[in-house]
Amino acid sequence: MADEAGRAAASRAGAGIDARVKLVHVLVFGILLFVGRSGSSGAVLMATLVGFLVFVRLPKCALKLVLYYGALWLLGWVLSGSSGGGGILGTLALVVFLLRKLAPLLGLYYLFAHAIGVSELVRALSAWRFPRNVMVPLAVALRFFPTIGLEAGVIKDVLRLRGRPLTLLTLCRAPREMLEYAFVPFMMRCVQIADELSASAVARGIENPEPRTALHPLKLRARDGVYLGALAVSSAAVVACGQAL
Amino acid sequence: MNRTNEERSMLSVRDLATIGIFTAVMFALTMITGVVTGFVPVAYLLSPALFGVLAGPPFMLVVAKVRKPGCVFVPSVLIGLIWTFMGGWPVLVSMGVLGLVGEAIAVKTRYQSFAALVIVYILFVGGYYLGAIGPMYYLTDWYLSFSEGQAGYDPSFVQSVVDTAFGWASAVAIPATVAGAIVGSFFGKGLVRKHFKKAGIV
Repeated sequence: MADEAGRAAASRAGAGIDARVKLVHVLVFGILLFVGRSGSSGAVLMATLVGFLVFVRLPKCALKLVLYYGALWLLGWVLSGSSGGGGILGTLALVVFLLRKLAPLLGLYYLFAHAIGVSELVRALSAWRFPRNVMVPLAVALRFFPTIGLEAGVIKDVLRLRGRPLTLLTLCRAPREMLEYAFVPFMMRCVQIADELSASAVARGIENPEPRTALHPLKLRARDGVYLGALAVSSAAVVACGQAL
Repeated sequence: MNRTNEERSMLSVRDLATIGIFTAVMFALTMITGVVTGFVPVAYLLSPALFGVLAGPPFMLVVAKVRKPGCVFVPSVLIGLIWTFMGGWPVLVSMGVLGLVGEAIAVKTRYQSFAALVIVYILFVGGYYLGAIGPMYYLTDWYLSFSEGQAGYDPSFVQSVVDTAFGWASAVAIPATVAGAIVGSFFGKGLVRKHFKKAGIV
């Protein structure tokens, strides 16, 4: 039974790595992103991030990250070569450079959004004794993100059907009215969803003072130790490359 | 059953769900404004001002609907926390500190004074400005040192871009952020009074 549960957990994205370990990874790399002062430290950060994404069974995300970084590198190289260091092309080269510097953020987003489920995150934060007043709205917010696009799309369709399409042109012509037309139904819907969600959460026993139980309890295993070791080595490499300017 | 004052001042599950949902909306607005303005560094400096205008209605609605300690600080911390999970830890620090100050002001006025709420909202948007734009100053310093060894970058040009972005543009961006927050708070108050109070939602 325990083996089956373990296998099921490992087959999901995340490779069975403890959510706390992945959160530590995101935090450490987030700090390292602003520490590295050389191009090579950024490249090492990217390379190790791609490796970690493959390890946690997110090869498509790793490929997208490589393509994004590669495209920015190529564009920056072309722009800096043809601009002579000035003019509009030079400004664009600067923009591309900053985007490339911040490209690892995309990898961290993939790691956070795709390798850590909301239930896993709540369990991890519970283990770290996060207050309920932060944990519950955080879980609600993360569950609500995909709905924002859907709700906004419905409101946009309705505005179009009523002859007031939400476009850049209509927004520039009557910004206050258009924002009001878009915001009011959207926020009304949000209030309604909040009421439904809270009723559902109460029905599921969120107000129960007893400790939460979990089908797959959090437990640090050998593979988590290996992951943390690899994280420590790659972080040291990023810092070493950053110092070697 | 009579509830004690302490129970009444605690955030209920409904309050937490409301805070969570509107925090998601406000976080999405930080992303949207960042992407829309992010193509040009100078315009990116104005993204908190745009965020200030757009996030006014959800912020004012949360405060008007919840009106309990935590309705300012919790969204501030949550936005910072989600940014932190994506690498943007400075946002957590700045929004956490200014959110706490804002919460203290709001509690002092019992969430009743609109003037106090405008100040609270300016602090909220200011926290986002410090966390999202602050690292750009640091990155620019890093960029200058890095570009010295790069082919294709004229150091004087790079310096001029940086001077523009962090000279006059900053002088415009900071008052623009405050102005955006003031406009957003009035816009939010107007919408809440016109639509949500009439509908009995707040």
